[in-house]
Amino acid sequence: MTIQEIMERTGTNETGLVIAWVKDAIHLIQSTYNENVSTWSTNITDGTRDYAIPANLIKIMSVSVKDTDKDKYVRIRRIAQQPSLIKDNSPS
Amino acid sequence: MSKNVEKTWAYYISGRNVHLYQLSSSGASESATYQVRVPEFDNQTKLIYPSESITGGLMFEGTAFIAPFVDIEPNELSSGAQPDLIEIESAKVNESSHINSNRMLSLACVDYVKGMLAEREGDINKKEYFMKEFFSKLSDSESNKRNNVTIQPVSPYALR
Repeated sequence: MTIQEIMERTGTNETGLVIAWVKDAIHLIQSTYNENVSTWSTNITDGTRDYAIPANLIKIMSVSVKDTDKDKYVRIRRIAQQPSLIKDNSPS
Repeated sequence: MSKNVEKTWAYYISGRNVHLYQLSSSGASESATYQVRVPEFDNQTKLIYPSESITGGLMFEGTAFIAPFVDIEPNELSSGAQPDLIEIESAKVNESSHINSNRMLSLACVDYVKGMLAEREGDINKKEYFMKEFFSKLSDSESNKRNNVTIQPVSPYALR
């Protein structure tokens, strides 16, 4: 369905606003259901704890770590409560 | 070398970052300075920073804002094959751009836009109606992917 068709169905001629609302709707859809699922991988660095969540990720379904012994990515558990350590200046 | 990662690694979400930890049992050689004890683990388990580098070792899986607009209709096959969709950059989206979703979700987007227009006119009841239609279509789209059968026993005294 094109933007033009949506504008005709809704009876408006404000293209920019309709595009913005459609983006909002898609965002809401992705936030509610697992419609467009993707994966992102990044390197794990020895002694580094913080890793940025991918910028275009909307809803996290799982976080996994590569099992180098089996060459597979395996889902890891989420810690629900905040650990007592805020920062470790000498992790190794 | 990482192994049994489902038992030896864990993460904590902190804003836009994840904190990645390895689980360490008591009695290991780690220094007490970088051991973290948290209530949900037993006293023998401690958290430490990752102790090894793994190329491409951390993977996220989730939904994303991927190619929301494309150049051709994504719901029609091209000579019997999947359509070859090309993403339209956000700045170049125009009236001829196609929404990259199935027909039901596209119809849901129509309801969403109607709802937003009603809200702008100050008609909240109308907006609520269209948002209900929006979520109803989302549910329909999701249930189209599943085919569950529910079997209920009939009571011996039920009217038949």
